[in-house]
Parts: sequence; C-alpha cells; structure tokens
Amino acid sequence: MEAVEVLHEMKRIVEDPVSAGKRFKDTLKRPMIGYFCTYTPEELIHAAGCVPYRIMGRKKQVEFADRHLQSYSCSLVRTGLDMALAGELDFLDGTVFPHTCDSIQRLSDIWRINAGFLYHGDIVLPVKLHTESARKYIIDELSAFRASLEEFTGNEITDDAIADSIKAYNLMRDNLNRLHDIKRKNPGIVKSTLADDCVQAAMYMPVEEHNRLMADLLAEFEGKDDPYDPIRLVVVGNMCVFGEIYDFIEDAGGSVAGDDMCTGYRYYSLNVDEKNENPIEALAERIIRRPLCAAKHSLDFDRGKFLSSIIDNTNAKGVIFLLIKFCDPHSFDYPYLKDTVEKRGLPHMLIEMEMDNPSPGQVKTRIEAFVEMLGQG
Amino acid sequence: MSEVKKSSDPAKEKKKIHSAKAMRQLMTDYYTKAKIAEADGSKKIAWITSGGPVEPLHAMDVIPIYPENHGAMLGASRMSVEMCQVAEDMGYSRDLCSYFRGDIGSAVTKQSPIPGGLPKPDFLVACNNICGTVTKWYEVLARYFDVPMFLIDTPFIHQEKTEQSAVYVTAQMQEYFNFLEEQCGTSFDMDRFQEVANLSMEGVRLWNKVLSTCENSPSPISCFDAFFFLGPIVTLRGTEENNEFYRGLLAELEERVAQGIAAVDNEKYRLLWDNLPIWYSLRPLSELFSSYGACLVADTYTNAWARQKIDPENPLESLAQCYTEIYLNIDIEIMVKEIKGLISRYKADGFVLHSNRSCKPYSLGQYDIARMIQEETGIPTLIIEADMTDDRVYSEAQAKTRIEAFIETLESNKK
Repeated sequence: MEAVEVLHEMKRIVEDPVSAGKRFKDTLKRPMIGYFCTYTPEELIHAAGCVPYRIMGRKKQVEFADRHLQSYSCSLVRTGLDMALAGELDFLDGTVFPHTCDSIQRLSDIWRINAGFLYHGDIVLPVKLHTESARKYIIDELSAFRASLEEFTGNEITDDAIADSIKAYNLMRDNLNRLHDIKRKNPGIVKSTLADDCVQAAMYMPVEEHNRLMADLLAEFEGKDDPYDPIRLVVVGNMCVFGEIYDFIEDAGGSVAGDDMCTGYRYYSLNVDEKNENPIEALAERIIRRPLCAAKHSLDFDRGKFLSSIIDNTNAKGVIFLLIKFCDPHSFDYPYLKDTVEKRGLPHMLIEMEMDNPSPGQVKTRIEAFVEMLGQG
Repeated sequence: MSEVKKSSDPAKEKKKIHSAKAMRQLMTDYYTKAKIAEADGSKKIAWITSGGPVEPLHAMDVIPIYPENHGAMLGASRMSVEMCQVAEDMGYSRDLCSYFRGDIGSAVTKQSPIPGGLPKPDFLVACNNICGTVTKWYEVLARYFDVPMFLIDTPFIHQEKTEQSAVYVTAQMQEYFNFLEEQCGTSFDMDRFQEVANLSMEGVRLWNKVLSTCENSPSPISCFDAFFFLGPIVTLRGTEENNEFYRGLLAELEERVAQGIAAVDNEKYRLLWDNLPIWYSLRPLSELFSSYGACLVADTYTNAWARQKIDPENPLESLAQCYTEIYLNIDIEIMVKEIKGLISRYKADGFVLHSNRSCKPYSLGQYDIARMIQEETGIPTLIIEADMTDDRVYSEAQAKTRIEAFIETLESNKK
C-alpha cells in the first residue's frame, strides 16, 4: 500500500472506530475485549486469542449515561458508558478494567451491573510502582488475569504464546517510535494529525494488521527529506480525541514534535523485554518503567523532569497542555508541569475539552495566536 | 446541630448536648499541643489521611494531623471558598476536591480557624483506601513542604478481596513501620503498638455504641450531631483522651434515651444519610428536616469509623485487612448490602444521598445505589447535589424544594 493510502486507512479507523471494530470482529471472528486504559496488558489478551479494543468514548451528547453518572464525572467514562448502553459496543465479548483512577474504578462497578457483557475483568493494578512489593503484586494480578482469560476462552495461554504476542506488540511500538523519529527530524514528511492517527488506530486494530500497514508506510518514509521547518511544540495531558486541534497547530505553522499523552507517546514508548524468560515478569517491568501516567505514583519517575527531557529532545518553543475535563490526576499535575515549563522560560497554554460537548472550533483562534506568538519569539 | 450557647430557655437547655463543650476542649487541646510541638520540635508531626493507619504513629509518639478534618473546619467556618480560590489561582482546577483546594490555599496563606494554620508536617502518610485524590494531594504537599511522603496503596475490592492484595498491603505495613523508624530515628515499639491498638479498638467500640443509641425511637441525636462528634474518633483514635470523651458522650446519650429526649420532637420519619456532610449548611438542613419531624438517624459516613478491628497479636495482617476493607474501598453491590443493614438496624423510612461534587468514589454509583435500595427495600430515596465545603455549587433553594417533595413522598407512604 502507498503511504497516502495507509494514512487514509488509519484516519478512517480513528474517525469511526465502532465501524472499524465491527469490521475486525467480522473478519477475524475472535473474541474482542474492550479496555479504557493503556496499562491494560494487551499482549495477554492477544495471547489468549482475543483482540484488544480500546474504548475512547464518543464525541456526542450522552443519552443514557446520565442515569448512572453525575455530570462531574469525566466525559471519557460518561460517553464510554453511553456507547455501551446504546448498544454501540455489542460487537465486544467483554471488557477489562485495569485500576486507573477513581472514576474508572466506579465505572467498572456501574458497567458490570448495567452494560451486559459476557466477560468482565478487573485487573487491580497498584497505584504505587517503585517498590518490590508492588512489583510482586503486579505479577500476581497479571497472573490472575491470565487465569481469568483462560477460563473465559477455555484455552490455555502458554508462555510461548505470550512471548509471541509480546514480539508483535514490540514491533507495533517500534514502528510508531520510528515514525515519530522520522517526523521529529523531518516534520514536513507527515502531518501531526496523521502521525497521531497511526498511534490511535493501533488501539482499535488487530496488531498484525497495524504492523502490516506501518511496514508499508515506513518503507516509503525512510530516508526521505523535507526542508520544512515549522514551530515545534510539545503537547502534554491525558487524551487527544479532537484531531482538529493538531490540524489547527499545523495550519498555524506549528508541529507537534513530541508529546506526553495517553493517546500518544505513553502508549508506544518502551518495549517489553523479550530476553526475560518470564513473560509475565517482563510485562510487569514495562508497566513499572514506562512513562508514568498522572494516575500512578512512583518515586522513580518525575513527570516534570520527563517533560523537560522531551522539550530538550525536540527543541520545542512552547507547550500545550491538553486535558479532557474532570480528570483529577492530570489536573493535580498541571500546576507542577506548568511551573516546570515556566522555569525553562517557555510559553504554554491550557486547553480543556469535553467529549460530550464537542466544540473544537472554539480553540482554533487561541491556538493560532499561541503558535504565532511562538514564531515571533 | 446542637450548639453550646447560653440559653434561658429550659426546653433548649434540656436538648443541649453537654458533651459538646468537652469535645471543643479536646480538639482545642489537640491542636494546641500540635502547634507547641511545631514550635519547640519536641515531637514529630505527620499529616495523615482520614482512612490512614494512625495507630503506628501514636506508637512512635508522632502527632497526627488531618488536613481533611481541617478542611471540614474550613467548610463549617465558611473560609473554604476563599482558600479554594487561592488554590485555583495557582492553577488547580475548580473541579478538584474542595478539601484539597482549601487545604493548599490555607497552607500557602496560613489562614485558618487555627491561628497560624496547621502545624507543618515532618512527613506525610497517605492511604488511598478512601480515594485516589489523596495520593495526588499528598504529592503536592510533599513538593510544597519538601518532606517525604509514604503511600499505603490499598487495592480496590471488586466483588472479592484477593489474596495477592492482602500480601501486598501486609508487606506495605512493614514498609510503613520501617519508614517511621527512619523518620523518627527510633525503633518501632511493638508493646506500645499493642497498647495503642487496644485503645483504638476500644475507641471504635465506644463510637459504635454512641451511634447505636440512635437505633432508639425517638433518636437522642441526629447524624448532624454525629458529624460534629466524629472529630475525635478520626483524629484521636488510639488515645486514652479519645476513649474518655466517648465514655462521657455515651453516658449522656444513654441518659437522653432513658429520659426520652429526642433530637427531633415528634419524630415522624427516620432517614439514612449517605456521603460526607454539607459542612456549610448543617444547621439549615438539620432545622429543615426537623421542621417536618424527620430525623437523620444514621449515615454511612460516621459509620465508616465504626468498622476497624485491629488484632494486636497479628499487627501487620490485621492493619492490612482493617484499612483495605473500609467502606469506600468496596464495590457498589457490597455497599448496597451495608446500606440495607443500616436501614434495617435503624428502621429507616427513607434514604437521603448527598451527591458530593468533591468525592467521586463516594458519589459516582449513587444513582445505581439509590435505584437498587428503592427496588430492594421499597423505601424512597432523595439525591441532593452539593459539595462538602464549596458552597458555590450548592443551591439551597433547590435542595429545599427537593426535600419538601421528598417529605411529601414519605407522608403518602405512611398512609
């Protein structure tokens, strides 16, 4: 496939993930397991012969979720629940909830009672990640999840099967890392939105299919050069589901040179160690050492220092904080990260969005003004 | 809420809960001692979450301070909003927990009902059994005060507590003891811990008995009183002063029951309350419910401190169990079972739920809980949208209308 066709396919999936999910279910005829959080061990789901499918809500006013969730819960859980109650996710055979935050924690209960899926898994991962006892607990929880999947599918999940799945997912992450390396050196080769589409599509697609498409894409991009020198920015936050925002940045002469986003770098950074003979242990290690989500606590990872290193690596001129509203963990980190950026003398702006109140056009002017200002600096 | 005021009205005098004076003194002494220790460095001060294992702190002679209790004080004294605005100016979202916003605003400005604000912590102890917010709150405090923070991470109980969870939390209790030894520079005194654990258990037993006096009809106090008298069991659990106070309160309440002194004259409806108090509106709400003959006889919040069981013979495992299995760390269906138990015990005619904007673990799921309670017990439910200390999101007029309608439902049910 040509690069432009690959990018078109990625965008098609991201713009209508439900149709895509149904298509994959019909083609593969394997059980599909939905998940909300990137701490989900997709490799285990894959090794069980199932297809992991990320639920990222929908950009629509809620119809049914108001009966179960107050308006002060985040729009990811509200629209996600709404999708389930509306029957939009009927192609899923089950869902799994790694412990993420207070909202996801309660969503799991509400979902189990109301959503009517055949399989419901809870992986109560620790919040704390820097201790030996937490590491042991992660391994125990992952082992319990493996047993739960075995019971659901009726098939044993061998260590070899997990190792094979790890290889496939490592390749997916390698591909996305390569794409973003290429883009960092040559921002003109692929637009920020399209690069982000490749990341988000991976969350909805069978990994083999994504690997196939990315191979074609990278073959064409590798070695290409482009003189375009845009204003480089870093985007930090929880989720970007409004692709228009990255378009506004590009249209104003900017480029997303790096990010610390759940729908971005945090998803594909750091591979699982294939040399570790204990694949469960290897999966636990990745959970511990991948860039920290604000919902986790580790004395070994400082999000401020991490952001600073991204700014260094990308030569960024400014930072955009992008948050889905009502997200407690990320709202708590915001002032600290904002201060980190200010101490480096860089400008920053905050954009808060709600999935069920979509109005991305309203931020267009603000972004244009911000990027313009960076260009003058 | 009963107030200690000079009153020449004998009926009012009779209704007055005399233990309130002793309690104010107890809490004043507690904060005074803490401020003195801050000034002279004679004892270490630790800030700890309301669901945190405080017993090891007492065993190490560390003074525990509860920012959440302080948050309630800010709410009750109506200083909360101003302090929240300070936090919001720092960049903290208005959607974050108002206890946190008030706390950080108070820490930065040193404005507080306590002169000079809370005494500074030497270290921080957070247990996320109540919520994930405290983890982030205490990270902010750790950066602000530049002191170490210890997190006790208690995995949430979805349907059943797992063995691996028990192993994980037990290991953390040992890590906690080690942390305290490091911070205090002394070794952990297990004998002293056993003493404290026994005192703590006795305190919980007494608190249970205090709340149980409300099983009587009419109830001697309402949950609005219980919210006030909750202070010591949260902040002074594990001390002799705590137990002495509750012995006094219990005696007074038993006397009230014997004399038929009711919190609400002509008690007509007995109601259960869910979630934290609406701290800035305790008296208006209490008076409004009373005016209809409705008494809030019990609540899930004060009952949360009536559950702890520490086995001094088995400290690590029992601390782990006790602090993992708290009311907010269990799934909705288990909560419904507990609520049904309270409804049955206290013979509740209705269930009032405070949908508290600041507290997601307590509030998300309430709509399903209300529906299940209504379906399974037949009693009507009412949801009041508010916040525990930020009154900018509370409409008293709206709450009043909804309460009036609820009373009408109760009335027609009685017929």
